[in-house]
Amino acid sequence: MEQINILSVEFIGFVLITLTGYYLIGQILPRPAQNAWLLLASYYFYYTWSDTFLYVLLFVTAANFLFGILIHKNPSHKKMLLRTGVILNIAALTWYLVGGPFIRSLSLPVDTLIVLFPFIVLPAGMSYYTLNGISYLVDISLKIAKPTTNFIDFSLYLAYFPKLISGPLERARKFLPILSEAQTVDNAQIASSLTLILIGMLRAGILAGVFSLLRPGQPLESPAKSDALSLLWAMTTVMFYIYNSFSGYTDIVRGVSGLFGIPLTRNFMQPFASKDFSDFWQRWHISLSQWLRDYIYMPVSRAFLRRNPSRTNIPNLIVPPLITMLVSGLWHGATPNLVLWGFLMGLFIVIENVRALRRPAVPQQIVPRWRRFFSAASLLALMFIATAPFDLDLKNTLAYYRQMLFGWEWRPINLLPGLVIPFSLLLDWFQGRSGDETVFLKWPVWVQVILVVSITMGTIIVQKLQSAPAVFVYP
Amino acid sequence: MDRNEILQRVRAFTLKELLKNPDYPLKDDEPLFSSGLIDSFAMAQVGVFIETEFNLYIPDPELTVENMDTPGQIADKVLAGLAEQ
Repeated sequence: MEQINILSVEFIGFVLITLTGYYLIGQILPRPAQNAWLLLASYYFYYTWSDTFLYVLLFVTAANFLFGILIHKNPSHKKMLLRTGVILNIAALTWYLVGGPFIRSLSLPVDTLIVLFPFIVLPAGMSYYTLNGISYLVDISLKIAKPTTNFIDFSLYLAYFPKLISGPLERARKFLPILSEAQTVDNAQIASSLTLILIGMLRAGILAGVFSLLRPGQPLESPAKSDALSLLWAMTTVMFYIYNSFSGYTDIVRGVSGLFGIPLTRNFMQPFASKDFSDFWQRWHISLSQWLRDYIYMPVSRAFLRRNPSRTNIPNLIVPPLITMLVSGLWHGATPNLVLWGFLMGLFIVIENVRALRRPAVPQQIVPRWRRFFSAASLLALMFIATAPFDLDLKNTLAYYRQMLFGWEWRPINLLPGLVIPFSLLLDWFQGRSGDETVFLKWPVWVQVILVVSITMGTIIVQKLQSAPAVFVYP
Repeated sequence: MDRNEILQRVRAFTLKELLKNPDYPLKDDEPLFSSGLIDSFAMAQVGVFIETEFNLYIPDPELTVENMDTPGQIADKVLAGLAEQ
């Protein structure tokens, strides 16, 4: 069976059939039947990726459902049950992040590897649905959520196809109540959902697609043989590629989900307009940042502050951001380069926190323009350092840093990918200035028609030009 | 404990510990975090302050900018939490 990718005709057909069934069922049967239909569709979608992935998802679903009820019903053993449930999720994910790659690195016969496949290849989306499971259990233990006794609804919370593969991460206490409401999707919601899909096609289909065609990251394939300027330029364009690819993907799935009357969390908000690293993480992969903040940073930070309430206390300043970003690095992949990436991101946030202690508090609007410009420029420069281990393995990261220090020589660089960057920034500017990501709905109808036709045609052409579908799976 | 008393304690903590500026003309409805006046990392300090000052634990996922951006919102959250206890 062929895997259904987001930017494909198969996905359009799949969504149309699922949507038609969803609304037909809604006409004659109550809401639970619609949820059961959505769950069936989601499992079918996942099954096209791999049948073995589905078994892992079913196991994680059953375990979290059970532990949710147990934690709620056994207040005296709450802590022990919570720990067991959380460890189960972490252990399952860790096995696939660490154990799987280790076994794959052994020189085992191909036949053995095929047999072991279900146990050594990280199931798509597992990094997301295990985090959803953990937040569900923690929220129940904190008494800010109640466990659901509806297994279908809970299964749908973890398996809902628009968010299953690459998020956004949703909280059960917001998601589950939506599944018990009768859905009425009005014209305004349909218009904004379709607009999101169109923006997603523009970002992931056209902008990221053209980036990919122009191969902006070529110098990064062998940093030791490239000069510093080429590497910096390649890193810039790759950052824009990842941004458009991932945020476009999220826009499409959020738009699709909106057609079912289920809103999903916004994941990006003009990240290249950030004033510092802390601000960047509130604009980039927002649902993950919020998860890390709520379930790693805040508990760690509060534990340290309880021992010494002073913010200037060194461990209070250093430990929480470092732990949080190291966990983020490990979540993206348990490799030395991603651990380094997490460490650097944490380190830069620590430096910002220390700097903030020395400055008087003033609202952002009255910060002098030159200082805001300096902050943005220094953020960009530090990003060139921090992002390298995200894109490169450790050996190439070190070669990249070596070239940054000693590899300054003039060689011609491929400027073509830079043509796409202004379009990406322009799109950000329209959305940021209006504070409305679907601002294009307010534009004249004739402009909207031109946009719809040109984006659709552009996506088809760029996808045809690519040898492989530009589907972004994150991480 | 009434809202006004809670608000006064929240204001005093904000000026002394978060803004480090007792003379700042802080309004009760002034956004602290969304305006960039204080970075959101200080939210953990607010959580621990509420624990020690009012003997009230607010769960981490509820310590958000949406819930607690202004001194007034923080006071309301504390008042609601105390009422639930």
